[in-house]
Amino acid sequence: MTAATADVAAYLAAVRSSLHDLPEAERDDLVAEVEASLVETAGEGGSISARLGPPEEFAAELRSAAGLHESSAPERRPSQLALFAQRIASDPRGAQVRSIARELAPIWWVARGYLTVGGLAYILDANWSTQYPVPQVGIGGPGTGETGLALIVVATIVSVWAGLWMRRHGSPFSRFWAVVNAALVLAIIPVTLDVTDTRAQELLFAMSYAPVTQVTPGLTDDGVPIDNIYPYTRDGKLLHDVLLYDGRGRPIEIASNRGDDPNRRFVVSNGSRPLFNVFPIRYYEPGTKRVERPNAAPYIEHPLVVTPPLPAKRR
Amino acid sequence: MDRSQLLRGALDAAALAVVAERDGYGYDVLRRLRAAGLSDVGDASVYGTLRRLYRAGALTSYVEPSDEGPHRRYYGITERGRAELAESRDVWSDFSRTLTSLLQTEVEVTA
Repeated sequence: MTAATADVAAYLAAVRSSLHDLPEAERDDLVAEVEASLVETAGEGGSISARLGPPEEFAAELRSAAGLHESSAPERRPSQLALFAQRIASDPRGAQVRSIARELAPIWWVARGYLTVGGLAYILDANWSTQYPVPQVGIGGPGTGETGLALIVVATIVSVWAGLWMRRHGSPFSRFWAVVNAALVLAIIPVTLDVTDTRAQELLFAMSYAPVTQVTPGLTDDGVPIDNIYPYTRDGKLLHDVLLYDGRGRPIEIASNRGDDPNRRFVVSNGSRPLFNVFPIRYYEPGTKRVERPNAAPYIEHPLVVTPPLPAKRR
Repeated sequence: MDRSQLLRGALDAAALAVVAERDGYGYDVLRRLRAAGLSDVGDASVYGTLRRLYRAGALTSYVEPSDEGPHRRYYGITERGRAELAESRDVWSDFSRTLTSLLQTEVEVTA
């Protein structure tokens, strides 16, 4: 960088800083306009300030000729940090970085929408969906993943829209938005932790509560074990020793007291194999081989069956 | 009478006239204005004015690469700019005629 171009860069940085409140596009255009002519006249000798006056005055004239409002804020001397930032900004490599950043900005806008909701969920200590990286947010009610997802969609749309708007019009409270953006960048940490933590919890949950499908052994009705079956004929006569099979021909057995109840009356096949699918199950009087009341049954109100009986096959 | 104050009001017309003659970039317009006799026109005034006229639709703009330094943004006049220029021309000739005769009369009175 020659002395002349360094001079140009410094002058431009100062002009740019005096125009800091203008929309970015407008400021860029104005500064670019000045830059082109400064570069052209840089070889003419003499310091730029001597030829054009102090950069602040130059900027004020530029602004007023361009019909852009004078900044109402009192003139602030730029801080050392701001000057350093300007120096970086006026460096051609800085410009390159900024142009890349400008192109990548939409990705950040989208992420920003997600982080806003994620950060909110973190602050509110909301639960996260175990299946999707979506917080379960509730508005005046229990949190649901759907609400969280809807909020993320809305926040993303608003964020992208705001990004586009500010790109076009400049940001009205640039300092405020810089802080918001910085906070959202920081929010990446807790949100990521929350999301991964949820994943870990889910894994832990899956391992410790592995779906040991609680199979109730034996015959059940809606999960409630059935301890006996009393079959009746259509005209209300209780049947004895009915063998039940399911659709695949497997005997329907009742698990309880399968073989260890000495009082259970087992119906035995000719191979002295006990049959467990014989109903109703009957119990002997203790110590005997006698069923006291073979017709005992729970009280039922036998319905009057009106459907005609199936034609019985007569032999 | 402060020349720069007069110029302030007339710079739009002057810049439009220069660009109407031939498209030009900022520094080029400035140079041509100075060459035409407006030696005390400020750099910032011209650049700012060009931007404002462009924003108002009186000028169009395009960028051309330059061998030395950054790209040059050229300005050309639009239909709206031409209409504005024509109007400025009428206003100015009317105004200057009036003022000329007024000042001449005034001089005779005080003399």
